[in-house]
Amino acid sequence: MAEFNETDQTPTVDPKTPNLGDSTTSSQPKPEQITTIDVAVPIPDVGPQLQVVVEEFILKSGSDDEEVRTAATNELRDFIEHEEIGITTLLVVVKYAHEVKNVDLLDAFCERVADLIKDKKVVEVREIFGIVNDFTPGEEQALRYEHPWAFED
Amino acid sequence: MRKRARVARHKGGHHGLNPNDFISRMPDDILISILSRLPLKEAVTTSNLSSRWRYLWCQTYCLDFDANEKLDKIAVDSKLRVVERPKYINWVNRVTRQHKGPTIDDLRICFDLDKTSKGAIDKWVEFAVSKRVQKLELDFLENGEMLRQTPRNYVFPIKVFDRSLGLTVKRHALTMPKLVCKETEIKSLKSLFLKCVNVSEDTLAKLLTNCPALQQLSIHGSGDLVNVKISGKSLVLKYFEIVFCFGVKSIEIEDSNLESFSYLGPGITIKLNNLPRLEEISIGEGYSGFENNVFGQISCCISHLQILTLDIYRPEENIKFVSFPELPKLKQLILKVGAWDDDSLLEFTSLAKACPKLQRFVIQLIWMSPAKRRRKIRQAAKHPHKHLQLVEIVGYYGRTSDVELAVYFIENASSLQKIIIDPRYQVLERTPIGNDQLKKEKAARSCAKKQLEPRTPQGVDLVIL
Repeated sequence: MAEFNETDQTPTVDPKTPNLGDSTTSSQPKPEQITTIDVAVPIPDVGPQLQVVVEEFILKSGSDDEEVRTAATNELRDFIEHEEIGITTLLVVVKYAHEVKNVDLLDAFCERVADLIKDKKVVEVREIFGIVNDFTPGEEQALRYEHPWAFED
Repeated sequence: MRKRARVARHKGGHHGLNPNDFISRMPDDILISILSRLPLKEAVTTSNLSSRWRYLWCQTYCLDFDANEKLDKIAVDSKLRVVERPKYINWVNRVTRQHKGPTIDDLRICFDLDKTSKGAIDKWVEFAVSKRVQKLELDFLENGEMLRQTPRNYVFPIKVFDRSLGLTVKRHALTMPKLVCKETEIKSLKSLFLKCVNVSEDTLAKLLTNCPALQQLSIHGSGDLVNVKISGKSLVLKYFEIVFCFGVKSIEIEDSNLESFSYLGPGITIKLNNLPRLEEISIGEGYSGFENNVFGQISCCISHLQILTLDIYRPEENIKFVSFPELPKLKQLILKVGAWDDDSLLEFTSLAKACPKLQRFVIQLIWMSPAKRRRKIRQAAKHPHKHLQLVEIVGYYGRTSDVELAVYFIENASSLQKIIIDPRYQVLERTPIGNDQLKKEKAARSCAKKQLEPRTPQGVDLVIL
């Protein structure tokens, strides 16, 4: 009963992902764009504005001074809140943060993705993220019975 | 093999994965990190998104069993508790049974539970320990907001933490190996917050010994504690709080790296000694708050104290403020004061005057029997508050005494940048605010505008919430 279909899905982010332009950021690849800050793993193409923000954040998050780090985190969260960053771009940064193991960066962007899921119905979330419902109606019903309290609304 | 058969039943290759569905392709730990940030109910509903998501929520590392809405209902009609309590217990049981991840960061149980639910709660605490929980919160306030008569409280299951008894944890036999704990220490626990859970002195001692990583400990409404002792350089305890534990007669803290101490309750003996890192103290003893010579009790820390909160329920008429010392490093002074009639608040400015480096001054007025009287605005003796940048008057009612205080700071704080006025009733209750209260708040808000806007100088930001 408690099966975990791990072997069936080895999720990898499609390497072409960054190049799929979101309407909200100009993510046309610019070959001549050089990162001004030397990061060990280059930041994937997320559009010039966000790239600068992420680069600066990574730099500050490495600081020894806690106040610098806190201020940087607050700035980043403000930026994320006010700029409408497309879902694909958000996920690109999440994946990148995960790869370079920058916990604060991962936190800030995961939080944003979580915000997009909060207070939404299952069908709405599916639509936003393009998730395909691959349950049979019987399976879906069974799921609701597993956790009736979660679906009480 | 059964897994393969399942795949074949679904349409499309990779479970019909939409090529635009990037999120489902993320590695498990990223998705689990995202799900851990959702309220528990929402995290569970993600199991319905698709088969990829079905069991991800089971590895969430945050389990916050929040039932605030139910508690609000019980506060209005306490009979509902009879029905809601078993529902809550079932909920927690179900979810903890289904949880598959190896670790949990946070477990929070918050409901009106007492010793009659001991069996269930004991298991939840064992579950938390087996999952190496870092932050454990048991909030068992009666009706979600009141203290319970302590003999009826749940008693903290210290045996779960006293591994020297060689307890085995036998849960989830299918998904987790049986753990035979030979270790005597619980290395994961960093924060423990208990409300209406009885903790004895012996339990407290064992907790401090067996949880070497414990940084935050808060005990609220516990019976069984009489003399509290915290000492030892090896303790990493940074934050310690005792609130309304009415049996407590004394608290002794010495030779430790404690950074923050908080006590609220009747007047008791407090002995503080050799606490070089103690920078934050919050104290409220008895009715006047100044019973027992509070400043004498905290004298060893006065030289390095940075944040001081004083709870002064019923300020004595003729408190001799002259007798308290200078607080040379204090940056934040927070006073919680009962608001009676239109009693002047200017006497509290002498406290502010004793703090040469003061940056933030907060006075929180708890509306007891506030009344607006027409009288002249008094002036207190002038004093330069050179570093004072932020003044907050919380629970502003619109009395002359409220205006007086604001005016004092406007006139004496040359570096003042911001004044925050919060005209709301300060006691948080579960029963919804009545119309009367709302009217008072509305009146207070408009008073604040009328009284303070014309008096606020250029360059000072007046914020009325």
